[in-house]
Amino acid sequence: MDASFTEDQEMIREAAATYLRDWSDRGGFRKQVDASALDYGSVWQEFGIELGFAGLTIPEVQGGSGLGDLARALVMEEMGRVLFTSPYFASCVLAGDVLAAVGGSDAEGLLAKIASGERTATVCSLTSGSVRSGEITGVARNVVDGGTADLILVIGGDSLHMVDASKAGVIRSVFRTMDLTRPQADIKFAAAPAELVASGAGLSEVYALSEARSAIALAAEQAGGAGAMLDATVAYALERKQFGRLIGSFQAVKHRSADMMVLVEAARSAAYQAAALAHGPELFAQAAIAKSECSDAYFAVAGHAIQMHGGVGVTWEYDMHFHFKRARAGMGLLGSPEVWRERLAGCIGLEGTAA
Amino acid sequence: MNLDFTPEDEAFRAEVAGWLAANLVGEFEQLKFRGGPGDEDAFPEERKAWERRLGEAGWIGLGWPEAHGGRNLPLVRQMIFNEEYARAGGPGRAGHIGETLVAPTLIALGTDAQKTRFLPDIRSGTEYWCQGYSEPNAGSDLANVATKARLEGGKWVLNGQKVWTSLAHEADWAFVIARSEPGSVGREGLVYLLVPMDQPGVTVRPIVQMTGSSEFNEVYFDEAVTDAENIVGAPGDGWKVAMATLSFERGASTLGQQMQFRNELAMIIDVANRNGAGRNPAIRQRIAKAWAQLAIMRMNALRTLGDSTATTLGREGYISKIYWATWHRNLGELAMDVLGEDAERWEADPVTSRLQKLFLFSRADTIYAGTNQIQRNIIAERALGMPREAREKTSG
Repeated sequence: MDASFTEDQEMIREAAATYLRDWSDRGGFRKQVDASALDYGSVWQEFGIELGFAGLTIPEVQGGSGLGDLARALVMEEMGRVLFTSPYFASCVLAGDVLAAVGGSDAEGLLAKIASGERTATVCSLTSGSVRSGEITGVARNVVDGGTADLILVIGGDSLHMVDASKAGVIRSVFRTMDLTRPQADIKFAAAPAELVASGAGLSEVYALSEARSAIALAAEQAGGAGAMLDATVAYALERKQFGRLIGSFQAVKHRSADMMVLVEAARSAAYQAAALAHGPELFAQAAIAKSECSDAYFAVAGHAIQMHGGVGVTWEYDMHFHFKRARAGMGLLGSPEVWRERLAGCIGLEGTAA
Repeated sequence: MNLDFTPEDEAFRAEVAGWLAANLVGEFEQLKFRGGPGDEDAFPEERKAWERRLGEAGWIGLGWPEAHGGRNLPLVRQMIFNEEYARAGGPGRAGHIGETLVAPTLIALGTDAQKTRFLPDIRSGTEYWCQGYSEPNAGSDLANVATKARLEGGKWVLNGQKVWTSLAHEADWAFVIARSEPGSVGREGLVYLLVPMDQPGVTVRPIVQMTGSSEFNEVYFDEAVTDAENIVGAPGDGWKVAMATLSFERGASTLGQQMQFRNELAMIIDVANRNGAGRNPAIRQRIAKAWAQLAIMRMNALRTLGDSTATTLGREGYISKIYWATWHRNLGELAMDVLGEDAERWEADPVTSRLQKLFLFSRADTIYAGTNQIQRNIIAERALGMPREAREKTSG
């Protein structure tokens, strides 16, 4: 029993944090969202490829570093702090986790491409349409990084296909998202050529496993965002004066800051615990705990941060609204808090389902 | 990070569970799940007999140094003991104030004579303690204590009133902070004394709580006396010693507390399954959230343990009191909503009775041992580095 991090894990966190702080100092997410279209080019070259973070959790035989979910949680937490905008989440987490869970030589081949960072991927399922002998026709909505990913994994009830986004028959329409830091697109497949990666009746259970793992990574990112909002709020309260004193000396401000810290530290505990247990029998319960509590915590803390900054809190110039928007978007990604709590209810001896 | 227990730890867990299964029988069977919050006046003599049984078997003072009769077990083992104790339905501990507050204070700051006099009787479960801190005008503002102590003819003589004194009516001794320097204010001029309860100068009046039971008391000192050597630290050191005692409050026992919480939540889930409340989507959401936050509470405690080599409390340690207290209070409300109209049938059956007492007693959780408001001050000032509250000269 040891709930502390290993030196390796701390080193990975520090390496990620060092890069991310520098990236943030160079303009960070603002530089990217101010561009007419989000440009992942240089950031992915540096972070994903040169520093090798694309392969963080992908096994070494596929060219990755083979580190565990706990190391990934620490890196995601650091990404969340600075609203890192990169292909990491869609490609290495969402797509990477699906491929790792599915297994087999085709999936491993794709994992190797993702691990090197040279190709990026995303995952979607069709809201309407069909998959027929090597080609896909249909529509997928709200695909994270759907406008930029090179490879699109299409999840079906009993199949997994890969579509090369550069091929004819793939029509991507990027829409402006409220959360500018994590873009989405709708994708129309018009007889787009599709390679079968895996098939079988058990695939939906496999998808559920990978979704739970990805949800834990997202929860860690949310804990990081919440932590950054707490720090920004305390820093502001210790420089802003009203009535001749620092607003941080008012009990109303101190108490809300304390409540924010309770949420942040609880979120971190939830994310770390879930990541530590992600490959055991408690995966679903832990994912439920982490995703529901971290989503709620991030949204609440980002909301508090806006309130505590007063008027500037609602301006475009300050960062709070970007966190608030990402918190809102993350709540809906990979299952809402309500959905996960209902799943948890089924894991803890509560009989039946919601009436 | 490895959240699994070692085989040695698991063997220890089995030893604890086995001992409890073999001993919570016969005369002690009736004590199972009794004597907890809201039920503190259940079976006082039988629970003291149980403490003696624990002491004989070496289950008191697990973390104390061996030189003082303890077993010097690491926090993880202490946590395992407390978890298994709660899981088995071990009764509310009558001796916990002596074991977890007085003993660590004496081990750290007491004289050899004090250690020799007091530690063996705590460890054997034969002598009981209460904490004489709060007064009518010194609650959250503890440094405002007005109880007076003067040294006279080789004895300390005490006059004043304490309040909210848990288990004073069962205690043989009290540890008391009192003002020994006339005219001093705040943290200066205080003294930390060990005072025998069985004497004409000490009057104990139970306070009936909203549960209908009495766990705490008013304690009046009217020319009460204790021997001159029953002082911990020097005159004037009282505040420092008192704070040292409080720092022991966060210990392995709060880790075992989560197993008691888990028992309570399991009981609520049983009721929800039985009476159909568990099919209400809103109730399901609240039960699942309670479960999630209980799991978080445990991990947060483990993170604090994980940093046990550090000299200062990790930041996450500061949230534990407000987090569990608020969680437990919410659990009480959830329990009543799950019971539905049966919530109004006072002590209708043992389960209803326990949940009603949980509901009522847990209103105190966010008040004692530092109110939620004081906890927020502590978090803001110590963990977040925000300015301290302005204080009058009369207090600390």
